[in-house]
Amino acid sequence: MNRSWSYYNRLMATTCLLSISLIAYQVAIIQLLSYVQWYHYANMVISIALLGFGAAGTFISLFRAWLLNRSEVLLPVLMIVSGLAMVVAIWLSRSDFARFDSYLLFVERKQWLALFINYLLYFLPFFFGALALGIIFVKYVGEIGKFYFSNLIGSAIGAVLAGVLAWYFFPAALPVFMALIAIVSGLILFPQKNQLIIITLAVAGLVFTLYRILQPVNLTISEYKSISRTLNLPDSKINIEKPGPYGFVQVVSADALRYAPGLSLAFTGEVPVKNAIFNNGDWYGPVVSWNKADSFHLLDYTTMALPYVLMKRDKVLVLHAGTGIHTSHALSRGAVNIDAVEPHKTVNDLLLHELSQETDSLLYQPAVKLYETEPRSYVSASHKKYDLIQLPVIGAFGGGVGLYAMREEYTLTKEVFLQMLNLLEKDGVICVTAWMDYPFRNSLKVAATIAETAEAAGLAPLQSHVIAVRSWGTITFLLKKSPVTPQDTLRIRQFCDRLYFDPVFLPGLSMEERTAYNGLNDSVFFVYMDELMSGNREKLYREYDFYIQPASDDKPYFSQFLRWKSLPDLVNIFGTQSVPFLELGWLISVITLFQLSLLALVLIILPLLKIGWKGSNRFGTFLYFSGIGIGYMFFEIILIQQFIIFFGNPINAAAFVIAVMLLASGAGSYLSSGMKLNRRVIQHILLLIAALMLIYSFFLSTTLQNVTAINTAWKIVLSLIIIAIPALLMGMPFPLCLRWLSRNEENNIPWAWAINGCMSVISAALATILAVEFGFTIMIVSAALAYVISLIAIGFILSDRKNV
Amino acid sequence: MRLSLLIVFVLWLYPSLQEKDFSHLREKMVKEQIERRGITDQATLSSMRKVQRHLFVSDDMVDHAYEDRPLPIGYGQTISQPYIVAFMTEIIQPGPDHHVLEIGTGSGYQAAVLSGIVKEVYSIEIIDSLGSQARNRLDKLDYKNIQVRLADGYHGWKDKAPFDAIVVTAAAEHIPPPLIAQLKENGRMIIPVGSPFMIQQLMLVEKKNGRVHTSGMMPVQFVPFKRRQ
Repeated sequence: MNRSWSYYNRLMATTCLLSISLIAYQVAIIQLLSYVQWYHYANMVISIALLGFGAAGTFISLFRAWLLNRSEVLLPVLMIVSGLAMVVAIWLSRSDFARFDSYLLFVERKQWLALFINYLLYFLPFFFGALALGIIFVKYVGEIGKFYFSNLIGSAIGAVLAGVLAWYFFPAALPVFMALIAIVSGLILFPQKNQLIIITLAVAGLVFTLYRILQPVNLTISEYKSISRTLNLPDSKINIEKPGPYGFVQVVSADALRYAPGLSLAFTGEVPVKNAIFNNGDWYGPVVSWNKADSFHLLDYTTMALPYVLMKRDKVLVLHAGTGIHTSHALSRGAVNIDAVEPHKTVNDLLLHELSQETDSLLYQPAVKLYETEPRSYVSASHKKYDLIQLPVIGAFGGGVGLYAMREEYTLTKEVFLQMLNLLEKDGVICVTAWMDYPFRNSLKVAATIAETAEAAGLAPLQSHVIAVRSWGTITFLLKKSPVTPQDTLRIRQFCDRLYFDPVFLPGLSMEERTAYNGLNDSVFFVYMDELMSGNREKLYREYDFYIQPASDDKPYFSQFLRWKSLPDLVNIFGTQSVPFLELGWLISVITLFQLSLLALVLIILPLLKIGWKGSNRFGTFLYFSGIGIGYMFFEIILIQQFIIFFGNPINAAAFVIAVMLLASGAGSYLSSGMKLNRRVIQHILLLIAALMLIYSFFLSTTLQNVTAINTAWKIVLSLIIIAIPALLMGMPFPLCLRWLSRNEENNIPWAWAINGCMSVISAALATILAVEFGFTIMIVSAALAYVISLIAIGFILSDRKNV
Repeated sequence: MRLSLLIVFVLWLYPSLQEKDFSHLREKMVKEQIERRGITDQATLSSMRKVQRHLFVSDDMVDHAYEDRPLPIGYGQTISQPYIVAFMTEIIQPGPDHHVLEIGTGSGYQAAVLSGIVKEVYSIEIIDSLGSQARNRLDKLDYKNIQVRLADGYHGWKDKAPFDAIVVTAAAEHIPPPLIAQLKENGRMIIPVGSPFMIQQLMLVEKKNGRVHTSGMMPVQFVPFKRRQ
């Protein structure tokens, strides 16, 4: 009796530990793969890997009896093997046969084979781990509420743990640490039989894992990442490396490293060599300084000097201040009050400490104040007034490859532009610069955003409040609160003439002036620009080959330009090899969804070959567990998005939402253990969840915006209430229905687990696409709809009237 | 005995057969990818016919050498699509007495094409291994009017300046002022703008009357981004 009770407790503990390990490993791998490749590819690999959960359910369906009979030995073995597989995946993925460069996926066919091998390598740890969890759930389904609670608590801890440990472990070592937890969980579940096998496996696992923590593998980064190309420069070296949940930050020096974005061709001076900061292998910015002894600032010779041409700017707000180039520029132009907003803690710490001397203590200057928060949150909460609000440069030199299409950019929505306008002094300006790209996208979207903002604010005529100046590579827009004066016009013309720039929007401008120094082959650009400034922009929005309508808070995807209907034309023009590089992020998301759907279909159908399709319960089971899987994931993603702006910190917001949701759901699962298995109860819960989601769709965003300025303690309390109430309810449907199945349709249990696992992964990929295409409101309504589908499905499952 | 002679004959002939294949591919490339897209400069076309592009790519890419696309050559670099090379060559209006500077030797292919037209090509490559490989390759192929320097292209090649034309293949966020200074009056500089495998446009820089002008050039023949009628 005592031994059984002890084993039960160990089982509960290992469920929790294994769950910690799996979720923390997932987060750590995303970080690692984002560093060696790009975030979208990381997402693609992880999405496939997470199908391991669904596959585990399928496997249990097919070999249930065999697995359950050997569970006492199998469970520790699977946990240890899961941990080992975590380490092996990282080690092998850099070998010759498995190494792939995502940039070449559309260039070399062999990369797809390497990608497939990576899928398999990262799939196995999740498969083995989920298999262990699945066996526990199936074998002890009578206690599913408590075991599911343990699973969810472990997942919550894992999500937080990964974020905390990311500050201390380098990308190659962090996932290996999580493997250690999985191996330890296997050891805790030490069986009575076959002890030698377990000990051998565990010792081997521990030794290998500890070795890999102390001697992390050398990671192979894509040769097309900025840092790889920089490290090819002579005498280049990495001076500082700092891990962190915001990304792996590296400071690089090289004798040929120079940065002067869009520098005027009239500049005849020397562009200084500067060190540079990279985040996850991508360029973050140069290490800049400003000293009163410096005779000029390089940005004075770019279109970004435009706001200072009109007048002196005493009070400047720099959003996404990055490594400080705009901050130093404002300082050089005599600003006396510079608020620099930058959310990246690691970069800020570097600038404040290790790089302080190199930057001439830029962030310690009396005029400069650093705010470490999400720029959108700062703008929403601020009541200060500014002469200039400076946004970061949009796009990349040469147009980029659309890798940011699926990234939320909260600082570039219509709503935030309006808020910024309200923060301006009488003659204040908002300054936005974009790299000129072809086909024209960024520049047109910025123009559209500015035009709609100005109209919404009642600034008329538009042409009197909008200035734009173009160089060979960049275009800078100013949205001016007061009308442009003749003196402004004269100063801008002189500025352009001196530096070989061309005005694009200026009162009294002729067509020849727009291309005096920088011709455009496709001069229809100016026609589009003029239409955007006129009242006819709706037609252009409809008919242009790319999506250039301004982003909104509901769809904050500024860099999403792709229109499906234009794809055939683009392929004709650019060829099948080049088109992917136009909107790569979008394409990767679609490919991910397609792959997941195909594989999930196989995993869901396979068990039916054994358990059969007969009976309405099968269809009901499929709908029910799909609905709750999809609804849960959609809702979680929406909450993360909403709370990023609310908290002003994407890392903390995501960790907070995930942790609270999982903890509350865990509590809900635990509470469900004591509930009667009653159809009405389950239906009421599902109905309540759907109703809450619909209410949130109307009020959540507005409520959070209205209380953004409250202090942190109250923010936490409010957030806990908003998240925990629906999450508590959302933790109940899964264990409740599994309990019913255990009494009436036992064979369905692992299949239900497989469905839920597969649908959760698919919904994560689908959510991204839905959010980009339709916005968050539609997503939250879809989440509610998913629970309604489960509500209908429960009627099929519980139609036999057994125990209800 | 006869069989042995036959085998020897085939082995002797085989490289020639291979070579003919590439000639045919090269001619096809010029006709379909270059001439058909509007390149008319005879010197450029002639040079594109002569330069054996397949000798400038890695062994595993040889079969793709004459395809209508850029190819990776390592170090995050590419050998440009044949049409782009031809376009860039034609647009700088190369002459037989010209001195041309190239920033970013890469595989050496662009330099080889230019060398067939101009008097001298000066090519700078900042990545030592890439530059050395290119230099060795060009030496082996007996290109006598190409000089390759392993250096930072930012400073140009001062002792050989000024240049009639400058080709910048390794574009960055700024055009180094020394290159502008080393361009002759009425000289032309061409810079492809875009990420690897996706050349979206070319930028022509001209120096006239002491001022510098730029023009965006579209290498794609069609102008697609008009309003739907």
